[in-house]
Amino acid sequence: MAEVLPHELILEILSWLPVTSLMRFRCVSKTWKFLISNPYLVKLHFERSSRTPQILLLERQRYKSQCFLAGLDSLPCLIQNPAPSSCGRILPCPKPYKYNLFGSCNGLLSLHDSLFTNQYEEHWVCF
Amino acid sequence: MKMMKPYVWLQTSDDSIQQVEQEIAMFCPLICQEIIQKGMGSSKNCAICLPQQVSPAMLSLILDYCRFHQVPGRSNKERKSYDEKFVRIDTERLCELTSAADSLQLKPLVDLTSRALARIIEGKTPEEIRDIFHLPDDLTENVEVEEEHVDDRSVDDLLSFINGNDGGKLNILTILIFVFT
Repeated sequence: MAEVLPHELILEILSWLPVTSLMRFRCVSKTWKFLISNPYLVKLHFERSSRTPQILLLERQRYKSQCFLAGLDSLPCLIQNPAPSSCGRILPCPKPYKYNLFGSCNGLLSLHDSLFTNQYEEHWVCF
Repeated sequence: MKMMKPYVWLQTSDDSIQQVEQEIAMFCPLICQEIIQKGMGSSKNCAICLPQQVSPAMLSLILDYCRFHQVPGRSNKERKSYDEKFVRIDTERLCELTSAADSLQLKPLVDLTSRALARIIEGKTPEEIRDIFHLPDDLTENVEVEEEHVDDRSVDDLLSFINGNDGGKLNILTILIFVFT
């Protein structure tokens, strides 16, 4: 007998999923698309994810920088081996420039970078 | 107020009635309310009628869970390893268990099972999700491709939006906004 779960329970399940899965599951069905855009899910998801904080590491080299995400539990490992690639997950950045952290809000980060040449000035802000 | 009895009578969705240790059954807030507020469950004739979602098989699983966690003095590690083994059941039964635990307002078990379900579905395709949850494929092909959202605001509009009302603090010539999803 197939169990049909009520919307509240689907929301509970969805609230434990990483954002990438949630975005993919928007095309499961009309109901799921509707549920995934529900503000209550955003709130629930944030409550869950803020219980396992992650650290953003910016590794800056001369011409490029990379962003890494690492869980708090990998701190001892990072102290022993300061190369973040050994313990963290690389965050995809559109261009490997030298990002600076501009600000953050509820886990959403704003990174900034700029490029200066004789002809023009270019600034990048990415969220 | 009636005397607390060591056993309580419960009626499951198939109308069968069984006797359960009260101390363990009271772990479920819904059963606890029935006993304390309504004085139910003290005899076979006034058995507590459990919600439709609670089949005998689910009740037995839920009571196992309560029986383990009701014992004081267990370490977090022991509890965690019990929980991990407890949710190693097939997906269909896990859905049933989530639903039954929710109907008994047993929040810790709802969290445990919904988290286990999330882990199962995390890497699945939308097609597989529809199979698991018996969902209709009601999004037509052309809707499935996300419509591209075109932002027709001018650069000046965006600048004043970003800078807020006091504006002009940032000298930004080109702004490219990437949204990570």
